[in-house]
Amino acid sequence: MLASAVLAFALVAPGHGQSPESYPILLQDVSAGAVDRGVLPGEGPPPSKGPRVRAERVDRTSAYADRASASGATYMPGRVIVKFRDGMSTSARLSALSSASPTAALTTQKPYANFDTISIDPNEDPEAVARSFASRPDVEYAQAAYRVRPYFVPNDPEYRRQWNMLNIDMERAWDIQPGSSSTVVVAVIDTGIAYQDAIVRYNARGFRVVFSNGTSITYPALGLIDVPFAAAPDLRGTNRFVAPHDFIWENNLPVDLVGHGTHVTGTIGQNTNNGVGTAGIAYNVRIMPVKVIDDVWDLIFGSPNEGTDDTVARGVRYAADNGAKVLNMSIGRSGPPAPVVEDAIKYAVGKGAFVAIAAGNGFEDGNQTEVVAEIASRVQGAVSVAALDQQHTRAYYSTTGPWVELSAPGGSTRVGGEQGTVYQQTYDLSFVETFNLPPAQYHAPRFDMLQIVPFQGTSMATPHVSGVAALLVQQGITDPAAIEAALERFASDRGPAGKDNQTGYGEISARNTLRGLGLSK
Amino acid sequence: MTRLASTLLLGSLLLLPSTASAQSPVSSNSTPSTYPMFSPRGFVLFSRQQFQAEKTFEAIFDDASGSFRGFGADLVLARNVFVEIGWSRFEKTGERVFLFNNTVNKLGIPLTITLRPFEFSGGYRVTVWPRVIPYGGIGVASVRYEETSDFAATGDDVSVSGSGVVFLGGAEVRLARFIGVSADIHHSSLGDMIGKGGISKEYGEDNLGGTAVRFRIIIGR
Repeated sequence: MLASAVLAFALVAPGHGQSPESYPILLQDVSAGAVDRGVLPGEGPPPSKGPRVRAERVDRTSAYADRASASGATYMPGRVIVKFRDGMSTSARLSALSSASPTAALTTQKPYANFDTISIDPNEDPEAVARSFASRPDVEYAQAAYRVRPYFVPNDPEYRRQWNMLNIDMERAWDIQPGSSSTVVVAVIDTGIAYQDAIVRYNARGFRVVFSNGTSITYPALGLIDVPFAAAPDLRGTNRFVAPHDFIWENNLPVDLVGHGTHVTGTIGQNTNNGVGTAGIAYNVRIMPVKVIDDVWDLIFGSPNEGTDDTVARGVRYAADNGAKVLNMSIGRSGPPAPVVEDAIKYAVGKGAFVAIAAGNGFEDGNQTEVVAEIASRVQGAVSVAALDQQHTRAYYSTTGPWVELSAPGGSTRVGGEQGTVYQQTYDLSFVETFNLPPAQYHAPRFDMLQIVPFQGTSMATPHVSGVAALLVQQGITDPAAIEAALERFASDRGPAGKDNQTGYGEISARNTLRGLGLSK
Repeated sequence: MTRLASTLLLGSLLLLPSTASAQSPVSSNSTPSTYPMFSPRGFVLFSRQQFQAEKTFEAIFDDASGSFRGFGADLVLARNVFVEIGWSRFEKTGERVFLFNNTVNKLGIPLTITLRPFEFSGGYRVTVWPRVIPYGGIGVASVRYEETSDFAATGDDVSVSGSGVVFLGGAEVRLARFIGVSADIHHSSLGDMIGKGGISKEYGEDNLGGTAVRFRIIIGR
């Protein structure tokens, strides 16, 4: 859920909800570019690593380079693995060698090996030699020295922090469906996205912070300020973003003024295996930034709209009408029903879009019914998503209720500390939340300083579901109801046995969902 | 299965004297004196089988039937009784699936199954007509079932054996002294070999058998 930057106090500012006058003005759609500030200060950025295709010894000649067999398996030439039957004499082994290949020679048996490695001429076919050995009664087995590789593991240096990907078996899922494709559009219905280099002129009005004890502080107007924006380096790409729209400002520039939507988008589609930052689940999809939630800077800048049910409903309909196949809604509220949102969600599902909705972070704040998430439980093709910690148990904040349908990693500082949260690239918040400084130090924000930041919440859990849903769409499951059924059918049961109010049908299992059913297993 | 096979073999041998003696009055074309007491023969077979697990095979392969090829040998005892052993093989590649609302959703992940039945059967041949020999029999089958698919990890693929009964009935046509062809209906029942997981569980189908039309080319008398 969108966590407000100002929890203990309310903001009062003139102009919010009024006409935007002539601001913001997009001064230029380029900027000096993003400053990638790595991970959180204090963590220390890791040594940078370039893309690595393969490690190869420099003294190895091309004759010994890996080769592919007819079956597609890769093997090392010049070597055959043979297990002779116990008790076979050395002379019998040598005889077997000469009959299998004129160049075969026994090498010294290595520690922890109960088999022999036979060297042969690198130009010989080791599979044929292995077959020759295997046909002998005194040989248990023989095979070529096939290369063994790890499952797809992204080379993004901060991937090591992403326990969340391992918890949903993402690496083996990427083997099946590597990142979907640009034909699949995922709409992020959120606070906007750091998707565009730009310099935008805003009129920053004065505002007043009112604390819960009744005291207040007044912040001065900054007047016209030119605010730099940059596309997140690990999100950007050619034609990566499609049909952006801002329902808070009623324009086509849904830039993120808080960092929430950018973080959420990272989990869905961060550029992956590019040697930079973190990984995303469906890293080849196109992203549709749809801004429907405002935050402090929107208020200070005097946005004409707020993140209300109608704004959200419009955003949902817009996304469905513009070709999004998956809608991520890491948003929500408690209180009275939201028929306008429900109607919009049903409309989107009817247009063939799958919708994932955050189940809420209010467990310790009264555990009230989450209105938007609760809608999902009535719509086949929309799911509500609870958050799990590193240990696959419900995160302490994750709202419970019968509307919870699925769960995914949302992180928890109470299990694993900061390392137990979800890392993605978003703004360096010290350049964004300048309104948290004393009035004398208060200054204009920057939205071009990006960083790998740990967040927790059902907002972070939901994009895992959206990402896997996008992979499923690429696999050919396009009916939103079928996507929901598949995610629920193959989820790993967590919490109390069976469907429960904490984790729903369980934690999504990306690999099992994408792999589906065989004939008998 | 072993017990059943033994029973069949024993039954066949017990039948031998009586059928042989009963044979003597029948002297249409091949007289008993010219037809050997034991006539070993070899054959190759082709069959097209409609699987009992119809929905399961339809979901994976878009086809509930499949072709087997194989070979075998039979031994005709005193012209009327036969015992037969045969090996055959079926292999086909389909796709892994997901079932929702009775609609099969293909996932584009290749899945190959292999069936290798080994059968032992015996029965009776009616030698009333000179060139056409109707026959019927019963037997046992032992089947090796393998299921492999792309992206399988350890333990994902399946390789199991099972057994069941077969029934067959058809007619053999003698084309020449040492060449014949036959066509028969062959029904096998191989229960509990599938149905514990996968799409077969979703459909509640557990039998790997089916009904086949078999064609054989027989070398021998």
